[in-house]
Amino acid sequence: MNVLTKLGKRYTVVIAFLVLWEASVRFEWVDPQFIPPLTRVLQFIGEQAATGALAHHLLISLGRAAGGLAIALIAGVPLGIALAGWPDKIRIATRPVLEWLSHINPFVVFHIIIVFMGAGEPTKVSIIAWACIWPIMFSTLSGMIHADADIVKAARSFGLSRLRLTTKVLLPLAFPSILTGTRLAAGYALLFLIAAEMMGSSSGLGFMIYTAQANYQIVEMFSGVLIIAVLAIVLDGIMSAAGKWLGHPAIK
Amino acid sequence: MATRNIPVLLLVCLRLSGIALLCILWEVLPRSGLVNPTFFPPLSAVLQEIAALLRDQHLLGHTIATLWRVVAGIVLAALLAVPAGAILGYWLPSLAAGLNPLFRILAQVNPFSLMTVFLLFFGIGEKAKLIIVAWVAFWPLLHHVIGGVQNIDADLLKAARSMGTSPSRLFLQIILPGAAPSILLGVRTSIILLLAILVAGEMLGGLAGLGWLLHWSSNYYSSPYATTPIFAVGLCISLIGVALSAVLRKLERDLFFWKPLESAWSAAPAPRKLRGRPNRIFAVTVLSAMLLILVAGGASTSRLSRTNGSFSGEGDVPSPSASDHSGHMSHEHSSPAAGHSGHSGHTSPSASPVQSGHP
Repeated sequence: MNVLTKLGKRYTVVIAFLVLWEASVRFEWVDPQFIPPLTRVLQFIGEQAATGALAHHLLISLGRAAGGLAIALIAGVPLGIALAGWPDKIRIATRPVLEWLSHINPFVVFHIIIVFMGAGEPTKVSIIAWACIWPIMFSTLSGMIHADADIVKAARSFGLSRLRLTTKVLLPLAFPSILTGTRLAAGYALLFLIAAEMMGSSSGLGFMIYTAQANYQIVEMFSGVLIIAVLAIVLDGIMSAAGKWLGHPAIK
Repeated sequence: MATRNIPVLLLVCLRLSGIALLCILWEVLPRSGLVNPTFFPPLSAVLQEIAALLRDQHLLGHTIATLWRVVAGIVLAALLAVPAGAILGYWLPSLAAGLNPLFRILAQVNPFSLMTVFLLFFGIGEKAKLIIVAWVAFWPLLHHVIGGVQNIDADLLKAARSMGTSPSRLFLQIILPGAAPSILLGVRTSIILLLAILVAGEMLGGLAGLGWLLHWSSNYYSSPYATTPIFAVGLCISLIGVALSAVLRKLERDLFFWKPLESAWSAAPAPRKLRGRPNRIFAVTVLSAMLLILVAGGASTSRLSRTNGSFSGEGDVPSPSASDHSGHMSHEHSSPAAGHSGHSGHTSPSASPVQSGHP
């Protein structure tokens, strides 16, 4: 009850916004032909959930997003660590190339990959991974480089090996930064997931929205928009909670 | 982690060496056959394709169109976010705190899913794309403005109020300059996302811009390298992103000389010496370029959209390569189930604000 009270108080404005949405359509301040009432959208979501169609699209989309994010984490963190460990001169030499790569549009990558991988699952997961790897890699690099110099010196004076120094000292110190990058990457994963599904897919939330728009099914379109927004909020909340839970004792 | 000071000349050489190595590899690997040149054309072929696109396919016009949309979207977002952020941050802080959850939720709404809503409302004309870019830029800007305003030195504000400064002068002379570093940071951090969103918008519904050209290129394969046009347009898009980021970083250094420099790439503490008086030449140049893009780019974009809108079908699209005598085009439909994505670029533009691109 206490938690619910806190949430209710915090999100009073959000609830007011939703009520305003419903009222503005009912009183026809907004054309109901273009914006359906909130209750109609929620009703449609309920129907979709009952038939299992919603779960189908949702699971497919989440699978793709999770796959891309996982690949980005597996590749991005070690790359960031490697970059931090290299001599300054090598890091300076690689910087322009990496910054250029981070600006290569995921949709360009999409069109390149599709030529030899086709429009299948690997293509969509690759786009998401490409978009996610850069914030993760750069945040890992930043965290490693900006680790507290005094702690690093103290660790070195105890004769720690390079491997133990990295795993026991630098990574824990860089963890908050890596978490920030991962949180940003999770947002990107959802973002480019929808885009990839809009452009080359026959399933998923993005496909659902795109076909609804093409067929003027306004209620379905808005239900998709709403589901994706809620998904983003929930995902961000989970990342935030995970960050607090995983916080390293040395940093608290 | 100690970092030595590296001479400027050596710094430049090191940076160029990375780029040079990339270019060499890009040319050599496809040539040698280690990488399939059909899928990964050599750099020289990509550059030749860029020249061909400049000559035959209005590449420069499309570039200006994309730049126009980015600049116009950011300006529109700034015009809304800066006053709103200043008012909320300074005069109505409790309202800002109360609205924060709603703002965070609205910022989380996926711009790609919103794109379908905007395309429905505004059609495939310029409005939808401008509003999409402005929407994406607005939330980080608002967030940074509020944060920047609330971090202004309280002593400055008290001193101004004690001298009876009017609200408008307070805004223009203290709040706006104080929040300016945060504003520019907000733009810089969102530029990658802005470009991605815009390119996607141009691909899904439009007749001008690099995104449209990219989408069109992917449906047209030229000999001898099928993917060359995609690489050519992709290179242009990525270089625009790099250039915009570099311009914004230099603006920050020039205008906000009192602020310590931050870098993810170097652990060296910023030099404590105070940098000299601000050099405004670069800022004035950037402002002039922005105005030029806004005025000339808009006209150029409209003209280009009309030109492309006159196509009666893909069969009439002229060949980008003079050597291609067959005129044959293969149609690679990436989404067999969603039949509209491949043809949306050929719908005629309409002045009706509610007409969709898919009648």
